Amino acid sequence: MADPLHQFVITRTIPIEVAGIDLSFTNASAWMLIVTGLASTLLLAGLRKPQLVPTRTQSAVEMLYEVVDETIVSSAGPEARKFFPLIFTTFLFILFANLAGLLPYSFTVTSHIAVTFAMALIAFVGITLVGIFTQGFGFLRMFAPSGVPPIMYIILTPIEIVGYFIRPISLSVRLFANMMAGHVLLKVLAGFVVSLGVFGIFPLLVVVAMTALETLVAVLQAYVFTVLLCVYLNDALHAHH
Amino acid sequence: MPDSKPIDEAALDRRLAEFRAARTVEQVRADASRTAGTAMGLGFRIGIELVVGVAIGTGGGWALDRWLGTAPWLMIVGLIVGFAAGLRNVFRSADTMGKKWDAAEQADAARNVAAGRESTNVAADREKGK
Repeated sequence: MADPLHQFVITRTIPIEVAGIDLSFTNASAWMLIVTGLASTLLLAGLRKPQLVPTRTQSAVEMLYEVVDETIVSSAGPEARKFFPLIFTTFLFILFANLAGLLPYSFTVTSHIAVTFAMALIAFVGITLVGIFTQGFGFLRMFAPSGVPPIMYIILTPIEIVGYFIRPISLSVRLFANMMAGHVLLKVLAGFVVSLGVFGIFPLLVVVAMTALETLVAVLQAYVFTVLLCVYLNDALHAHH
Repeated sequence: MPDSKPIDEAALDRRLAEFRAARTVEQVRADASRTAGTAMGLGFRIGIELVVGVAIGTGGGWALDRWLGTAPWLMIVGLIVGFAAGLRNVFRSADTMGKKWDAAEQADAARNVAAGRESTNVAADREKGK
């Protein structure tokens, strides 16, 4: 178990194969279900009996709502509120996946680029469609920045297009790399605790501090993902200048 | 609750002022930590943007080179375009963030003015109470 990458191994819990395609229920699938269950439990428990003076659970849920709502309105404007359910769900899923990954013996769903890239790609395609449906051909004006001589479009348009298409990649790599790097570092340092014997107290202290930092990173990365969704949505909803 | 006891207004005002001062300190601390969190978030956001831009540009150029047999030209073009695209994305998010911070700073200044007026009012009330 000294292998710091062992924590990312995907194991088949229930092997399923349909027409030669491996559709097994894995530990990743199980943890996605657990994470969704945890998030749903919090929301259902908090809003079961809504009161004017909220209980602790209810105000926790309300705070989550308000943070996401504030982010959407400040980054993408009030028109983006109609996408609130999707953005809120994404935020909660990533937040709970990141935080659940910090528990011992757990599996960090978001430390796999397959998961983060799938989420980023769905959002990217969806947001691009929103842009085309709201702005029509005007959406393509995004690739031709105004205020430059037309001859510059030869250089600037490819740059803008590449810049647009690397969005889902940077979005997914950021989340997956941060989660994976933090977990590998924790495991490597934890390995020193055992091998150094009495002096293992020093790496142990570092691991404790790192765990605190990783908790911050877990929350922050969920937030960053959400903010960027809103920023991209803003480009899709509002004409670019 | 019978009104048998006269309310000690001065003491009440003093407690109120103390409470308000404590709240302001709390507010300032909360604001500071939120700003730090936002700055860290911004760092995470734009740090990776450059890396991915260069990596995708270069990798795409290299793949096109292999396909078209034009090595190494498309890779060089891809490297430059990828770098520029990454830089453009960094610049764009820094630009929006800068505008937002300016707006927040203005709102902050306005709030401070309001808070200052409010605290002088509390002080005046206290004087009256004495």
